[in-house]
Amino acid sequence: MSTIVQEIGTMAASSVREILDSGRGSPAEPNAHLWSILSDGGWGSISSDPENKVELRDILEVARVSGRFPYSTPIVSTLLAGRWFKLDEGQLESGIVLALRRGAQVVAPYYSEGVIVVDGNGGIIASSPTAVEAFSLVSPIALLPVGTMALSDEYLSELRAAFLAVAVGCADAVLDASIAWSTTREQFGQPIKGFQAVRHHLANAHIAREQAWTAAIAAAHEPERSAAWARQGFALARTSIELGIQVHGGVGFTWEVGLHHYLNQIIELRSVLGEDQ
Amino acid sequence: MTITRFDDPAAAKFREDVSTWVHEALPTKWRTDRAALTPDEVQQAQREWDAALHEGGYAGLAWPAEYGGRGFGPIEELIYYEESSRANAPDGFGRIGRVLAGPTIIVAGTEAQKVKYLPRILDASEIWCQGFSEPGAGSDLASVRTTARKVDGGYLVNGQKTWTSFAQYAKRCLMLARSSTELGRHHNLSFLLLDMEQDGVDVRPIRQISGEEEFSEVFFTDVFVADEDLVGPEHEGWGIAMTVLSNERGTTEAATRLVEATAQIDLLNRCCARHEGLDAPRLRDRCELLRWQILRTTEEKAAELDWFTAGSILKVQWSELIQDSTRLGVDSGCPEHRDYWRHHYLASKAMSIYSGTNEIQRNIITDRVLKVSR
Ligand SMILES: Cc1cc2nc3c(=O)[nH]c(=O)nc-3n(C[C@H](O)[C@H](O)[C@H](O)COP(=O)(O)OP(=O)(O)OC[C@H]3O[C@@H](n4cnc5c(N)ncnc54)[C@H](O)[C@@H]3O)c2cc1C
Repeated sequence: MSTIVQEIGTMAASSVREILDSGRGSPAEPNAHLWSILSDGGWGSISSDPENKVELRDILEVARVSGRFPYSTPIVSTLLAGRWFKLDEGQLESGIVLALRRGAQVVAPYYSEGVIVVDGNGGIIASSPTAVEAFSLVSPIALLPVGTMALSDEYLSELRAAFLAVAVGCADAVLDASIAWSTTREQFGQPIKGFQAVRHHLANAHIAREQAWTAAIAAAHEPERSAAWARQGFALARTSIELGIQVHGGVGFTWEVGLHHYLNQIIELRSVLGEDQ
Repeated sequence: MTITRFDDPAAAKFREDVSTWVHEALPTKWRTDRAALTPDEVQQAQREWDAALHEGGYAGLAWPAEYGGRGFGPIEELIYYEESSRANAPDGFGRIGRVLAGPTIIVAGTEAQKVKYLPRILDASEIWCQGFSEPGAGSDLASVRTTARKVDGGYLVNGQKTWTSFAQYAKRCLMLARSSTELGRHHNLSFLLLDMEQDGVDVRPIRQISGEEEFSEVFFTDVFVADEDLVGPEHEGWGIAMTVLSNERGTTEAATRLVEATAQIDLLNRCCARHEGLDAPRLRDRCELLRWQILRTTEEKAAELDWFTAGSILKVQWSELIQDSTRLGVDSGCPEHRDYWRHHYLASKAMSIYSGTNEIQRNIITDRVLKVSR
């Protein structure tokens, strides 16, 4: 596997981006509408067809664009499940979410009504979740029955890389918004992008997210070190977003502008991976 | 006589008195169950604390005795904050009144204003808010557009403020408004004490990323302020606003932040106890450094040395310390305090923005302290 994305990855990422970009809805709720467009377009099953030769690196590309949008769909876990497990077209179209160990619990992030929950071996879990954490702000996280087999280390390392790529997408979204804001917002009779302090924040936000992206790619290449890469990468993506909030001033602190969704998403992803334990 | 040095024996005695009092006066719920309180319960505890401070004579430590204060200096005030921080005391709800409005009225207000407002700041029966920022005037505060038009017996205020903390609870507002269109930028603003409970004041709370609605947009339509409520000379409100801001960045404010940081770092140490990689002890050292920075600045203030510009350092120091602490709290992954840390982490994002952003503080340091020309 190369650090460079293949054509299939670029193509999938740009289509997924276009679809999510047309989205609307609440960031805190699963977006069934967007998922149906993605899945009708076949984007959820590209990784299961060997002819496509989709590699993990390509999935990272899609994961990254998905992080740009505060909508919850099971695209990332579906692509990974399609790569790992024998699942049929119809199952992939419903969307797949994965069983992960979080402390003493087993949870499935990106859960929503209608998706298929699989255990650590790709076996379908028929029973319903015992509870759903609506609060999570990213997406509901389903609590699965205790004793459910969670994802093994081998798969977990790929998931870490992919979730970190989502975090980088979050940083992308905030940096774009920050650049746009620094161009329109004026203080002292000039756009704030003219102030060196602001320019350096933007540069540092870029440096941090690029390093986070490198960490995601490194995690994909070095599964045995993926936990360390994820720890470092998530912290860098968070730094990038924090700088973006700072550039926004008071506006960045409002719920309405919503930069916290990205911060929350990073915290949540990191927490379901157990990286904050 | 106020104390001017921390090693004065009177300081030790005062410290003992404060410590005894704080421990007795602390709201029980706050003492036992702080991290689990709902926002409403926190507010309740803060209000109880306001009342306790007033009854105990700790509300206006550094205020002159004739206005209900104790006539102490910055050293006693700091000792109080240190002891209350050690006891994890809450922050009162009447803080904007005590820290910003009161001291400003004391130095710049008329006798009538002092008599009218100070007692109700001390007992926190009137909550204050600070109406400075506007949609177009944040870092560039001097560009405020809200107007104060001279009419018979006073002014009519029109315009919009934003990010106004506690506006929905406030009886009074420190209002900075443009009173002239002719004079130069820093000489056409007037500083008014505005009654929020009258027609024409429309407060619309704004939801923050931390989920609370602590600040608001406030719209003013022909809101009357009597001549008696002008602070300082007409059109010279900028200087008064700077007094407010220097208090906002001063040792008292920093000391209340030390209270907050200390409490958080205590909790953090417990949450991080299970982790080898997380460096809560280093934050403890930074907290100690903040304490000494405040002590040093306070002694310089008591000795009437040049302490004024030290405020920018303090502001940067406490805001970044609390941001780092809450971030580490999230990293600790402590399941018991998960929601607590997430909330405070998000809330701390505002600290490098309000009271003048940290970029602006650094500008002040290079421009006015180091006097590095551009
Ligand atoms: C929680 C909270 C509570 C608040 N409470 C109050 C209150 O009670 N009353 C009140 O009046 N105000 C209040 N404020 C407002 C606060 O004072 C302003 O948000 C702050 O001054 C920044 O202004 P702004 O939001 O317009 O950001 P902007 O001034 O637009 O700044 C945006 C970014 O540009 C940077 N920038 C701007 N100018 C320069 C420069 N010259 N050099 C370098 N960088 C620059 C800033 O540092 C920031 O990163 C509150 C704000 C918050 C977040």
